[in-house]
Amino acid sequence: MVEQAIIADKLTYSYNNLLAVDHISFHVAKGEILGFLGPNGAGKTTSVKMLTGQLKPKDGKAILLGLDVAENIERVQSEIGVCFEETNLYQRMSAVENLNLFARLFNVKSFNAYSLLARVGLSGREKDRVENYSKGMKQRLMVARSLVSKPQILFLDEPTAGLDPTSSEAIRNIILEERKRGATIFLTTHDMMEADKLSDRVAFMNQGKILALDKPLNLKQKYGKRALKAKVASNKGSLEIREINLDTPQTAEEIQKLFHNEKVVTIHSEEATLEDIFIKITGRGLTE
Amino acid sequence: MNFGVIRALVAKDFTLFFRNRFYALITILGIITYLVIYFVMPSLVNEELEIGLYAPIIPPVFELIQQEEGLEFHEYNSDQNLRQAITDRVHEAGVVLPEDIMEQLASGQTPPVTLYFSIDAPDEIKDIVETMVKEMAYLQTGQFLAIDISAEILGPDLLGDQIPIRDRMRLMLVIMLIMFEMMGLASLISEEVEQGTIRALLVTPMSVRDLFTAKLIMGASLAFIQGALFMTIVGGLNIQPSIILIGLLLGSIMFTGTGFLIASLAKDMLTSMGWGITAILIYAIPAFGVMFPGTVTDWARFIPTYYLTNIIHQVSNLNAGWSEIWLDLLILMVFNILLVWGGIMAIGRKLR
Amino acid sequence: MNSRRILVLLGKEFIHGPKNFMFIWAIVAPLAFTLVATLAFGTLFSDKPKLGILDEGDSQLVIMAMDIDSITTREYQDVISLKQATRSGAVDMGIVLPQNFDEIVAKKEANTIEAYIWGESLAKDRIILPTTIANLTRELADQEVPVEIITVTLGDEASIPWSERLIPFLVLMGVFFSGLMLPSTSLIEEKQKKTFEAVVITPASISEIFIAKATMGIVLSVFMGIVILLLNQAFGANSLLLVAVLFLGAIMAVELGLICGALIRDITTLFTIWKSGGILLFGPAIVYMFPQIPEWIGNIFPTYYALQPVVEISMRSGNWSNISLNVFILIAIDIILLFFIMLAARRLMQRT
Repeated sequence: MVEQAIIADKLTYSYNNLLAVDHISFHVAKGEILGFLGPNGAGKTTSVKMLTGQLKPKDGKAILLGLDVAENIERVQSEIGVCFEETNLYQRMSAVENLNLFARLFNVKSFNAYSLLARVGLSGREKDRVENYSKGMKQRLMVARSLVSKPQILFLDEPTAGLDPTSSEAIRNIILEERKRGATIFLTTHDMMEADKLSDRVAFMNQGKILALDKPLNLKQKYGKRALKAKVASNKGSLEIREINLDTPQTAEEIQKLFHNEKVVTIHSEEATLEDIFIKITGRGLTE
Repeated sequence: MNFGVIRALVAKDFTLFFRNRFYALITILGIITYLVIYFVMPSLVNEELEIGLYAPIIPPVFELIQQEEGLEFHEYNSDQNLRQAITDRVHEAGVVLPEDIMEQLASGQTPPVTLYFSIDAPDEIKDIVETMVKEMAYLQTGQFLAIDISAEILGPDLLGDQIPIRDRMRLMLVIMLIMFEMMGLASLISEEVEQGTIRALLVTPMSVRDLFTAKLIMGASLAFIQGALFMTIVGGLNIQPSIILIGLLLGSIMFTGTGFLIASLAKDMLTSMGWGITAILIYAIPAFGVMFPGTVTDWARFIPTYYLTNIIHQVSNLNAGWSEIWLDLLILMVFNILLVWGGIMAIGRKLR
Repeated sequence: MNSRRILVLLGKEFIHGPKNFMFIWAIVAPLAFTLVATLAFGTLFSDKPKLGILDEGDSQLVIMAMDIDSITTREYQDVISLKQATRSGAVDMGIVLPQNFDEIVAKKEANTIEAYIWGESLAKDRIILPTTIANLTRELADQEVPVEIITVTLGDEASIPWSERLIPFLVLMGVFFSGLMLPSTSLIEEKQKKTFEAVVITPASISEIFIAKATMGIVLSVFMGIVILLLNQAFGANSLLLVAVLFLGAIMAVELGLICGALIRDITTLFTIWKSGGILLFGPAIVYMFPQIPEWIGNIFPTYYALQPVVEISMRSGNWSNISLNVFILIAIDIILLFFIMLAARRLMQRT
């Protein structure tokens, strides 16, 4: 039986009369990466806050590593690491001081801030005050901070937002390394490519509800269509496009006909993206 | 309660505070400023009403009254010299008695007595000197009053040993000094909320109680150290230092608790500053009452600082001991518990 | 420099400024202090000896005592409150007039008045009050004064009574609280919320932003100065000159505010500076408040050159010749500060 790291059981939260999270249920297996996708205001942050013990659910339960979060906050928080979307580092402290502080709060024995900073590419700037860091450096430090306690579950909220490709790639590699270590990763992101690349499964959230949760491939198969696109030369000498659906019983026959009857100039396969599927399911884009 | 966590948080708060060199420098300058104010204030109290006198013959009653405490005649050898002294503001008032005053009084005439006043002399001095001269004349002519005044001294009698203005002010200064830390703490918490660092702390195994115990230690110790340093330099610890230090410590904790309450009310740093000023104005009232006795009535007992003020004033200015102030200490402790508990509950609720 | 843009920015300041907590404080705090001062301080700071009377009958002496300006008289209804007032220092001496006191005096019968003296009362007050009571009793008994009193005032410079000594403080508070704190907090807030950056990348220049903020500060600062002087009935005769001086003072306040706003990173630091640097602003007001402090000390503080002309015109009926030198120094300070603003603005732009 698969051991579950995160179980959300009808989690609900409302701000005054506004229902932000509406009875959502899902689970994340140990060592799994779950991509949590949704437009702004969908209820993602509120869900994460309930899962990490920052908010007490109005209804339902959050269970992490077999423990009810509301009843075992301290134990649960000892096992999780959180990387926030907004930079919330101590600006007047150095990177080492920031990490050491959190290591002490997590009661981590024999912690080596320097090696962790080297891992996120901040070697040489360890003792600089954070206020003098660039945005990318601060973000890498935020990720490093969430790793201080070698958490079993890692909540990452937009860890690569606004970063240059190199920094983004570095952080993506760290995420994969953490998964290799055995950590469960709850990744909130707007970046569909990133979610597709990293996540074992993705959840689409909109207006407080989870609308779909599955492996990216399954979602694509279920909601998207794979097609073959070919450019063919017409009799008049111009180029025309032919599209063949790859998921029907007639696919093979249609491909055969194409090569037999037409003069194919170029040909390539096309898959639906997660974004296409998201729009299809929710009727709106991620950034709306 | 996790002491390791608390120690780490206290160290963090102190680092952040002193990392801002400007912040640290200004805090030191603050103490210096308050010290300067203290030392600029008069260190002596002139209890005497000093009057210049030119009298070729001094009536015996004048001489007799002069021996009493509270009135002092400075004799001049000429009318001109006395006028000059009054013009130069050596004294606010001067009295000129005619050469033949005794004869005139004896013969039932009304001798002219000239009173000189400097232009700075307040009206009350003019009236008072006139009243004194009249009374002395009555007595000199044997018109004694049948009415006798039997007086009882209430409170410690400080005749000849009055509290100088600067020592009355010392209390206000030390309380202001430590009270400002209350605003500093409230701002520090607001800053953590605004910058989101508090969220990062709250997802660690640290409890909200640990967080505020650390802030309490940081705020109270910073306030206490400043207060104790100030009192040491201005001689406020010369008498019963243990009581004063306990009072200052309780006061520092109380202001920290109030700082929590302010931080729980304030949405941002500016609002916390506004609430802080309001709290300081209210908290300063009892100390104001010490500077200007009798101005603050019984309702001030509802202000927590009343008891802190009373302890420091009674001990440092009136030589009181444990037996006189134990009740104030007890009440101050109760206020401390209420404010710190209320403050932590309020801020904890806000953060949740 | 584009006047239309300045107007747009000024409009924004006036529309959004009042939402700033400091704006409300800039108006409320000086008014609250004025209210307290006019209601209470006029008598609170009085040097007059204070007499408390409990009249068990219906003695004329109470009315006579109330009419005397040289002492402050308060009437009490029972011995407990009289003793309480004496013990707390609300009165220096409390006396109990028996039921038929006036008859006893008229019949010249021997009697004893029960009295209480506050232990901290000065020696001179302890002699003045009984003498005054004796004098009043003699008046009640229609005794003739055995001497003729001639009063002569010497010197050519008037003094400021206590009730007026606070006005400089209130004026400084009104002018500088709004003039300095408003632009500085507004600028710091804009920097923190990054709206400054957003405005500065539009065609609006930094000088236009500063002018808009300065105009807002100056208008409020002058307005508060005028309101406080009017409330204290100290506007003086030369109103045009007074407004001009207030305007120059407001410029200085606003310039300091803009420099602070440009250089200081956050509200906490601003507040910390205010905490200890405030003395530099209010120093001259303290000098005016306590005549024991030599007046030359006032010259050290830059605000003295804004305050002295205001005090001179509003309270001492001064004219241009009495203030011209200080006004020129004030103008020079305003110009020097302008250079500092330019430097601060340049630094601000470099950091934005």
